[in-house]
Amino acid sequence: MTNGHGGNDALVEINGVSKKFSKSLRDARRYGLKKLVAGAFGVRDEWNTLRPGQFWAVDDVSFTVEKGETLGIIGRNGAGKSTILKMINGLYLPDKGEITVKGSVGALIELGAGFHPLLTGRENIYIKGAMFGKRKREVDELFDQIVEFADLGDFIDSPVGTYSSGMYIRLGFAVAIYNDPDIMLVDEILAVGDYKFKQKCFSKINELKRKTAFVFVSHSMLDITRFCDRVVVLDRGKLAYLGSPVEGVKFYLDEVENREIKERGLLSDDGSVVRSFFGELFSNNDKITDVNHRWVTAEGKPADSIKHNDTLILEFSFRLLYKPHRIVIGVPIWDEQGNYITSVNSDVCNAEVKVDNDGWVKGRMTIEHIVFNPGVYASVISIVDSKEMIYRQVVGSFRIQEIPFYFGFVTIQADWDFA
Amino acid sequence: MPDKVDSPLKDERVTIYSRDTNFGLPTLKAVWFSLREIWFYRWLIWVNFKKDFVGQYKRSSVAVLWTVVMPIIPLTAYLFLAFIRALNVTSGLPYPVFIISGMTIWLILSEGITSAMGAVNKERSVLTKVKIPLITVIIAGYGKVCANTLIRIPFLVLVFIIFKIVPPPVTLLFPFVLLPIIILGLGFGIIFGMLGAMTQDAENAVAVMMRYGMFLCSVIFVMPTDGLMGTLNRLNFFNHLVVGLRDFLVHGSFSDPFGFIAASAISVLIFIIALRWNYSLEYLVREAL
Repeated sequence: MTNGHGGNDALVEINGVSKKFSKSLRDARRYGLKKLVAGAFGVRDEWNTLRPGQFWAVDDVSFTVEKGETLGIIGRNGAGKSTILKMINGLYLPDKGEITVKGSVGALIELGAGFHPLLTGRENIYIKGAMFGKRKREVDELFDQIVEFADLGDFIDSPVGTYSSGMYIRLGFAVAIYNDPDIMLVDEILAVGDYKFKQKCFSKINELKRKTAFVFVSHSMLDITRFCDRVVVLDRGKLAYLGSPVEGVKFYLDEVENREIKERGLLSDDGSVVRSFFGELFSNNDKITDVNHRWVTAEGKPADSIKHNDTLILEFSFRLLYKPHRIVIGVPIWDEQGNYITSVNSDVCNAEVKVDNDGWVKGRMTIEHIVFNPGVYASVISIVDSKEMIYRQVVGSFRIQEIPFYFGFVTIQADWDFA
Repeated sequence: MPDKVDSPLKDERVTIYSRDTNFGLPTLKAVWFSLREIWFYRWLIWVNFKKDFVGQYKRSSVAVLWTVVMPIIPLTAYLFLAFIRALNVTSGLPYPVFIISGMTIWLILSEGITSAMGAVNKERSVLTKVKIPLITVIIAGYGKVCANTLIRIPFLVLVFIIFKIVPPPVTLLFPFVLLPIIILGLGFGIIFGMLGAMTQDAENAVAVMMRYGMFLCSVIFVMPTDGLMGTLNRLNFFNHLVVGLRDFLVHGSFSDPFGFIAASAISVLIFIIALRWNYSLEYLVREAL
């Protein structure tokens, strides 16, 4: 095994790859037709420049994926994640650069792609096998294992059009994995499966990791940090980060997600309101200024990564430009999948927010024992005067480090007594 | 098709994707790789063909009847005109034999092109998400046309019996003599299938060409042999194919062997060009779907 940067074990090498698309289907077809007609007569169209209405969906991206490695790709919608997968799979060709793929590729790019809804699960197993280039005899040999893994019971003889999305993915994943590809591309779809099946898939991925390279697109930061060896962060088609999953997720949340929110805010009508999974963000600049806030550890260092059950502190300061009635500060927290975990609120904690004569508020909110389970968490600080919202912005993210065992959202200490 | 290298991998292929992939390949190499691809995916082609063909017959209790009768219905007007002697038919064959045999041959071409275009459209969702060659989808669709032709042949035999036409035993080779028009239909199917994915105009153009083309190819009428029209007909290789195949079906021989051979050679050439275009440019179709 080499260091993951183009060594001998690299099954996928992506070198300076760019791909352009048209914003409208009409343009895409018009340009495609021109290329088709020109290409038919051996004339290469000018492919290196953008035409009106085109944009770079992937722009000068380079990375490798090695045998035995699971590479995660994260990025906002439209960042180019699926386009990269489709280029590795050979569905799209790069407009610039080169992709070298060593071995066979299995791809789960969309739920149920390639399944015929009127045919049974059994029949579709053979059709999907044929799509992987297998013969009937070869599918016969794999059939029982596929059916067992998919765990569809009697539904295997029902038309797949009657399947739930979970059943679709079980069958799709089982067929793809048992066709034994050297490189497996998985695009988000595992998010659809139930928890048990997802664990089964990841267990299978771990089993196959020794000989197979996985490229894994996901919006679940938890899955990325748990199962990937490295992560690529794509930002508007460009490679913004390549490295460890923990750092990559942090980079994504801090740099990409937060920047996107701020930029979208600047573009809004009143210059401050934005929407995201954090909800509405807002700042009344006539009433509040000089706002600072950050998560720190007990030692006062930035809380990028802290241990479970450690102390977590939110430091904040701001200046009010008017005389407030009654300030309340709230801090809602979400996990990386957007689950609303909890909210800490000064009012609920019976804490009075003190405002000095100059309107300054400086304070700390201390969580003695952060009981959240491992993962990356995002938070917002909202400052309310009576019922009037004057400020609501993203604080940033913090990560809770791994612990051996955990369930659900939080892990709490409990004393056990026995008679 | 990818080159092979020494490798401990389960699948020893090394594939390089770039904008130049397959573009600069010599034609014969591209055709050879294309044929290898067809062979590699032969089972997928069979499975897809079977799926569509069986589906067609599962959904209708009288599907065979529709396969035979539907193409004949537009011809009834001409049969009627011939019956009342409003049409001048001088082929020497009973008009129903002339027109039904001509139509059976013509449908291989026209249905072939439309079925290829339909197959690309129908499988667009698969083609954009699963790496299967475009040509496998087109051939599977075209297979249905060939099967429909086989279904129509007994009906043609029945018409021959009714009109007391007894072809010589060599006519049994007819399915093999159909080969040029089959590969011509497939070649055009590939070309128009690709174009049809890019523009609706291709579909409309094909509909017009197929509707009026049969009037210029001895399907409905005997084409003149003299004057300007005669010269144009001698250059019309579609006409040579239809006339040649009908001759063989009825007489077991060709009235213009050179014309048939030349038309067959052109068919092979078009098929080769289609395979070459498909192999080099199919990714453009995928991107436009």
